[in-house]
Amino acid sequence: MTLMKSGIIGRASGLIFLAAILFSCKKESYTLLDPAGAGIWSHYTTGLPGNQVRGITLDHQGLMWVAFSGAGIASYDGDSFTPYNISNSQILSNGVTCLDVRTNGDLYIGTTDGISVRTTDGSWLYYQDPVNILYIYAIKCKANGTVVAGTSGYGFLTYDGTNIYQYYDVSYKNVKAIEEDISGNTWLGTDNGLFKWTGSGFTHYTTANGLPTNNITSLLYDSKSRLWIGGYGGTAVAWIDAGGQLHTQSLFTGSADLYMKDIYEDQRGHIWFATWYDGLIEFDGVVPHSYKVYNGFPENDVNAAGQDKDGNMWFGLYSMGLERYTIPIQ
Amino acid sequence: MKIYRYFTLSALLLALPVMHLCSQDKQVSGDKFTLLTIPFNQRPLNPYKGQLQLSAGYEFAVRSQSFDADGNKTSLKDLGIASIGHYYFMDVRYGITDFLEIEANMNYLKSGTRSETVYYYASNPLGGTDIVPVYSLDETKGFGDLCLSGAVRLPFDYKWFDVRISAGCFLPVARYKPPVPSSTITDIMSANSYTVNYHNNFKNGYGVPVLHLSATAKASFSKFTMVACYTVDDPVKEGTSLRWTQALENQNFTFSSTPYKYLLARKTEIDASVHYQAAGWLDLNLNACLFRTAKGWTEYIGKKFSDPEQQLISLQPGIEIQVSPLVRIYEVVNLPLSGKDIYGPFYVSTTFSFNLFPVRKF
Repeated sequence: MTLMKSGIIGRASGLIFLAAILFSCKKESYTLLDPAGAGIWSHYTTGLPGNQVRGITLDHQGLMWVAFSGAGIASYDGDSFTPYNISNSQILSNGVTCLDVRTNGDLYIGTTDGISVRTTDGSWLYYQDPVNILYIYAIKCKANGTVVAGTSGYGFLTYDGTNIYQYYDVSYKNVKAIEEDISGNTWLGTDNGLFKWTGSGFTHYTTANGLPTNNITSLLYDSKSRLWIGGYGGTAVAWIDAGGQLHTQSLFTGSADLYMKDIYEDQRGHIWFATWYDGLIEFDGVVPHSYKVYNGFPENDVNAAGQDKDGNMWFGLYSMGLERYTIPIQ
Repeated sequence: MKIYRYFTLSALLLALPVMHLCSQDKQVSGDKFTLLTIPFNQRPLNPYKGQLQLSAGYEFAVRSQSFDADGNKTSLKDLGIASIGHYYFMDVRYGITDFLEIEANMNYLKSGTRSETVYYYASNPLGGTDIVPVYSLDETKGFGDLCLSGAVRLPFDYKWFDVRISAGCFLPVARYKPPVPSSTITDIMSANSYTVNYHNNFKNGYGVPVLHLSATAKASFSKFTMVACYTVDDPVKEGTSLRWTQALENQNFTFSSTPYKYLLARKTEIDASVHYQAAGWLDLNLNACLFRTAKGWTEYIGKKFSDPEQQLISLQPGIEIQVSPLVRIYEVVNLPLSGKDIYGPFYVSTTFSFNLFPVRKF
């Protein structure tokens, strides 16, 4: 009898114990990504309106826009590319040089003959100089809604939503790169050094201040409040920290003259450098990793870098279309 | 809710000794000497009523090979990145009755895994070549979580066969967030010539409660015994940990961390072993082990990636020696045969087991 009693208690306690454990077993279910699809390179040429890519940007609807030299632009919805050119749209020119998205969602497109705008409702606007042919080198849509466009030979233009202003001085007549820092200052990369424009005055940086070159061709303000400065010439890239101090970073290319075409930061904080001659360089904060023809990259001339809505990296090549890279798991 | 679950589990475990005091089981015949020296093929899977078993072990593991996702084997020794691990464990079991036991165990792990050295070359303006070797070491060091469990076995009176069901939980008492890396720069020759030594640190805790369930069946046929065991460790919920980002500024490392979520993989293990009682004091055995993981994920850059599903099949010859009525020694060797997405460690495990009846009167 005592044995039976003990046995019942023992079995009952075991059942309660198991029930308590099973009670705590509830978990949610998720759709998970396959890690085998990460860290993969894919090459895109078919379906593109051209093979010479000049710029990549992502709009507020999740469309990735790609600028093509001599072939207009194309949007990518994650599945296919839709081209826009002078034949099927009101874009000013097929010679697209750069593009960016304004805070209101409008797409600003720099061309070899002025600025085209594709609004969010699909209509087209444009700006051309009444006298001169405006070759737009760079476009930056600032956080306050102001659009800044750098030109070849005519300084830079700003558009605040109402008025267009032109800023010109012989020292910054060719504006090749534009970036905004966290304080709203505008940084201008020119063939005569780097300019910081506060809206009321300019600060000029040159090789005398430690820049590797005075021919500044690309800028990036990253998530760590560093302004990366790429140019044509010199053996390294430079960056200015939040305190205004200038640093240089070797990219281990061995080149006597780096030619930086674009700089981009991914969601991990890795900095990507698109160069001519030295391929693509990924800097993880410690060591630069080089992607060139010798290790499987399609070509050594890279014009642009950007991301799609899924976080995949896209690289625009000089003559061979696009290269996609899914971020690897680390 | 979390506290309630812990309380329920703890209360049940604490209640078991009280039930033991209230129960008056039929006593297993024999004196202490007889009970403690019963050979493996005649012994139940649980300790006897009142028996306290204290086990302490050490496992020396050599990671000399790994298996990729397709099951292809890579010799880490040939790559020069074989590593060793030290694993210490303690286990306490107590027989509340002849068919009910409670158990607690804990471990300590120290291991290091090296990656292949990568060299970066850059021509310098002077016409020479700068070299940056990059070494990488992942070190895991620390206590594992405390596992508390209870087990019931059937039949109540030991026959030639025995069935045991165990249930418990790893309580997240051990450190699990990775400490700040210890990476360094050495051999600084010039701005572009130095050595990068990545040194990532990890801890051994799970960070979340993990359920532990196992079922074991044993059948003896004269001197031969067959044992089969199924074990599953399943996390109760997802956890949050840290991922360190390293940057090199002016040849000094700086570190910053970002949180990420994870769900531990469910681990299952199936063991099937054959034992031969060569002598009253000596049991020879051979175990086949299938280890698998599934359903885990890790958050990275805001997305959830499923963890690779690992698998390892090993053969484990072993012996059990009754050294004295109080002491047994277990020796097991692990020989990895095949696997997927996993290291295949060769290891030797030695366990000393002390058995006694501290309170029971015969």
